[in-house]
Amino acid sequence: MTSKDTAQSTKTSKKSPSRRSGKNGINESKKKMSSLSSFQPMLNFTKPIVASTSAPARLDFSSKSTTKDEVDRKAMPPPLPGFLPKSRLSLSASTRQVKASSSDSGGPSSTVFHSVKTSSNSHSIKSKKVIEILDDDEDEINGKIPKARPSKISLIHAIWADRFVPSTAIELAPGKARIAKVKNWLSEALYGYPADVVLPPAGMSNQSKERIRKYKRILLLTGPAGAGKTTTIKVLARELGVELVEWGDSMDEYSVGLGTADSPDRESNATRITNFLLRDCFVPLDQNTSKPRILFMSSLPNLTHLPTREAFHSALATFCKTFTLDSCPLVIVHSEAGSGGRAEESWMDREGGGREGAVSVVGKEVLGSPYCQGIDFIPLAPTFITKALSRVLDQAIPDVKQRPPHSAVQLIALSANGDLRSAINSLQMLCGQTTRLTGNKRKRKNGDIGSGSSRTGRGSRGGKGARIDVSDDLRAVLDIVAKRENSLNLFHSLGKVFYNKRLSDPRIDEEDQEVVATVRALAVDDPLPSHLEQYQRSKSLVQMENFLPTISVDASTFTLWLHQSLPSFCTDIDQVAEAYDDLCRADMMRTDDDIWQSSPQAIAYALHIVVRGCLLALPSPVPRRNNQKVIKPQWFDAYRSERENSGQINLTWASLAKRAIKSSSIASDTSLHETWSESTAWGGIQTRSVLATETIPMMLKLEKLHNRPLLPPNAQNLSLPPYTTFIRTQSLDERDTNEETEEPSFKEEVMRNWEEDEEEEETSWLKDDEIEDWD
Amino acid sequence: MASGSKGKDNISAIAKHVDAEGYEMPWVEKYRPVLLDDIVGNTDTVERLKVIAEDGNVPHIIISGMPGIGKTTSIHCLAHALLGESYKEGVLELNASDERGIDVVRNKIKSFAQRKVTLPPGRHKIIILDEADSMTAGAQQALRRTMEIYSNTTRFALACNMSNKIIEPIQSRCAILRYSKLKDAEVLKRLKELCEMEDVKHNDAGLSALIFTAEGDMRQAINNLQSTHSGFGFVSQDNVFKICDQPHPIVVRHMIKACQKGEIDDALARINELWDQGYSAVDIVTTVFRVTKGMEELPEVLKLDYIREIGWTHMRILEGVGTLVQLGAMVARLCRVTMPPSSLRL
Repeated sequence: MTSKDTAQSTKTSKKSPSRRSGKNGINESKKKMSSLSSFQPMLNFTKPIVASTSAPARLDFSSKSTTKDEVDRKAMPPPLPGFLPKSRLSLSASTRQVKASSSDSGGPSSTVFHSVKTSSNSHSIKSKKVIEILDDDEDEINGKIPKARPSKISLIHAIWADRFVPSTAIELAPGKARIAKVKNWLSEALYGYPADVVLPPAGMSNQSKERIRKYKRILLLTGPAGAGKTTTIKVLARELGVELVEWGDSMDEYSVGLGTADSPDRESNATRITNFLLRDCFVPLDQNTSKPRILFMSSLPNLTHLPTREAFHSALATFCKTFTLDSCPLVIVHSEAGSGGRAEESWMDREGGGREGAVSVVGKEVLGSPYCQGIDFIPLAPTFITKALSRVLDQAIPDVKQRPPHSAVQLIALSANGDLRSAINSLQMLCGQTTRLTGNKRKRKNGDIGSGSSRTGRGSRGGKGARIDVSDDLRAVLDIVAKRENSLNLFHSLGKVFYNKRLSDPRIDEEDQEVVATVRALAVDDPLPSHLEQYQRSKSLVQMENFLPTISVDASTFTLWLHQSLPSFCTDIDQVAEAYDDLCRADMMRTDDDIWQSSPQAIAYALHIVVRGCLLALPSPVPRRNNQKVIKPQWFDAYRSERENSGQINLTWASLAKRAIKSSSIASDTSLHETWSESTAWGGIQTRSVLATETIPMMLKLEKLHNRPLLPPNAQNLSLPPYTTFIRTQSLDERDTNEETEEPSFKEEVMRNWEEDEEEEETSWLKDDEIEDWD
Repeated sequence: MASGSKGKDNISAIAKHVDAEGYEMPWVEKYRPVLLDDIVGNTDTVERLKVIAEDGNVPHIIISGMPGIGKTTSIHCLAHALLGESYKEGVLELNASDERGIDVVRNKIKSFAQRKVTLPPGRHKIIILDEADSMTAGAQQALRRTMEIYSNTTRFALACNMSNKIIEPIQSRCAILRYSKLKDAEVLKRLKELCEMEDVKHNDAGLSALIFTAEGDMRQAINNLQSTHSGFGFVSQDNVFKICDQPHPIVVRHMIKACQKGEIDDALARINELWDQGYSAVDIVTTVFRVTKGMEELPEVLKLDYIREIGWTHMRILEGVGTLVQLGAMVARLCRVTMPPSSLRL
């Protein structure tokens, strides 16, 4: 408490000064080297103590007894700094997933092991396990085992999400179809034929295999965090017998450079990536070539930095095009934040790092090219999560009686929002509780836990969680455990507003009496003046000061939800109008141009006005009807499609501008300058709105008429205003019949103008295309 | 802001002062809990932390919540409970005031994570990142991978005000604990304990004034307690408001009552009184808001209307027109709410 652990150098000095004094000289000299390798000598000397003896025993161990091991350790020179070949780090990725079903990972054995460790350091009672661990440590002294490799000790204490990682493809949580897709891609990229074909197809020539392989260069896995992307790749790679070469975002690169580069630090991030992609895609000469390799990137460089991003994109493009028989494919895993449109989607910081779409990850050239395939992982369905959690529980707690009830598992699965990793984290925290309960001899029977049904007043009826029977205290525990801004809480708080419970309600006796009592104890309302009498209300059970902090989403999101679902709880249009008036006022109170960055005061006022306004406007009591549902705000969908569309428009804009510049430069070379001058730059200087409402729809229509691509493929699915249908049917007719009308009607005039425009553009683009071909 | 290490630096700095000149240590640091049992408030969550501490297998955790509610303290207590004697070696703490860019994550955090430290069996090194929401997104991305690779030996504990400022991949790797505001009774209990230990003379009104000004922020409450004690020697309501330099809520309350009755002259006089005492418009309007929302006897519709009008005035003041005219206009509008519309017609 009283001092902060700052300097690395003071790390181990306190423990055994007598033993370490002799090494000080060495340590000093090492410290002057790069910070990363400096502690390695210490590390190798202190580690054996961790494993073999306990903390209290260690003190007399160092003073009185020097075993043979100890002598050996002392005699051994410290290993060279940076003595960690890179291959071992990649090995660690595969060795990490030790089969969790092995006997020594269970709870009981771990406690046995502790007791052995803490009892004494006498060698006689050491169990077989301890000896194994000692063996590990001997290896570590020699520097042969990578640091990241979990020994059996650390595995027992690993986070469950790491410890019970699936070992076979059957155990993977994501959908079968998706896994099969990934597997087929890997197989095709490595061998040239899909994985479900047992033997290579007889008629398949090597050439066609190569052709398939050539176009399977990059696999981009996207999806929200915790959807199982990385796990899928790792498990599949192991099943296919493939080595994963992982890019470490400069993490492990420092130690690699021993002998090759004098100052790896000087190498910029971008260069390292380029080198990684181009160098490591070939099998090293000294290695056994039987095992195919896959490059794997899960942490990307800082893509918000423009030069880095460009370098990364061009490295990927080069990587796609350089294909030889020996090169291996690349898998990129990218976690997208909040693609599920969930309530707690953090759209507030939408431009923040790590929220780039697929386009900005690999660049549009690569994404649009045939070399790259994207597979999108979706948030896992609660049933899938439940299944995976049960599997984890089977392995983690062998004793059925000690496991938390199934309903609890279901509740965790529901509140995890499709994130398996956080669900497992929650489960681990929950199980800490159960083991403690049993330890305190307060063991509850499973039936007990399931039987205490939730009270009528508790939770929102619309909320998913209300269906599941969980006792109140277990629910309370889960509330803390699974509080990942979860939707249950959101529905809970929305329900509190929508049901507008007041003291005068007829069914007040069914409410939580504690709350009722506190509300009753409040001071009586002052009488209202006569012109405000219509607003006379009895005390609300929602006590603002306590309620507002329990809202699990930010104020704007909460307002969105209220706005979407409020009308179905009102009985009168006036009530809706009144509530929405207050929503409007709250909206105005936040600074107008940018509600995301309004001051905290403004947000506080707005939230007060929103909630109080809704409560005041809603009827009391709110009649219960069947159609009262809490609906997800449409805003999320609209916002997402807006983002997608604007991204596509930007891309289209860029490509049009490129072509315009190209054509204008060529035109200026030729003598056609006068005639071109007006039409050349039109793609480039238009505003986005003109582009979206006029140019792109028109060009799309042109494309349809001529079957000739004018726009980049990603512009095709831009959502367009619907007027095109009218014009198209008309125009086709008129083209055929009224080519030369003398008296054009108004419609035809319009059409005429359109056609003229079209022709002009058409010719210009035709020429442009020709020019490009020549070029 | 909740920051343990800032405070710690203070300790060492002030400890010297104690020796040299006999200065007093901030009570916030002097009585900062060391055991999880001593933490005030959020009992359910702290209970959970105790379970984890016994079990020893901590997941990565994020604790989020307002300032001054014990986030950092909880993490420190947890680390103490887990590591005991080895706390010094096994904990790396980085604070918003420390440099925490990508480079730090890559080098400092990583090298700490790689280091082998002798710890009690089954325990892990702990890296505490205070105010993690102020880390850049790039640094968080870099952190993500470090967390994954070294989770066997090192656990992360993050404290932040807004958990949605933490990028999703990190949230997914952590158990998120939300701390709620401390209840008044909890703050009061702790204040009373401190008064006893430090032998502070006080009356109940003084303590409730401290609670009112602190708004659930324990640190502020304790700081104000200490300031009042060392400044006046007695903790009474008036002294507290003098120390905190806030408009007296009683005056404000009378002002609102006057508005409710439509006595505009009385209300304006109260505002003028506060203004003459030298309080700024922001101070006054903030207190008005705070008092208004705490007035239980105010009917719901009036409360809504009042909060709206106060809000408008607050926004204007924040935009730069912090004048007495704005406050006067606010008072007038508050009065109008309860006046019968017929009397306002020309």
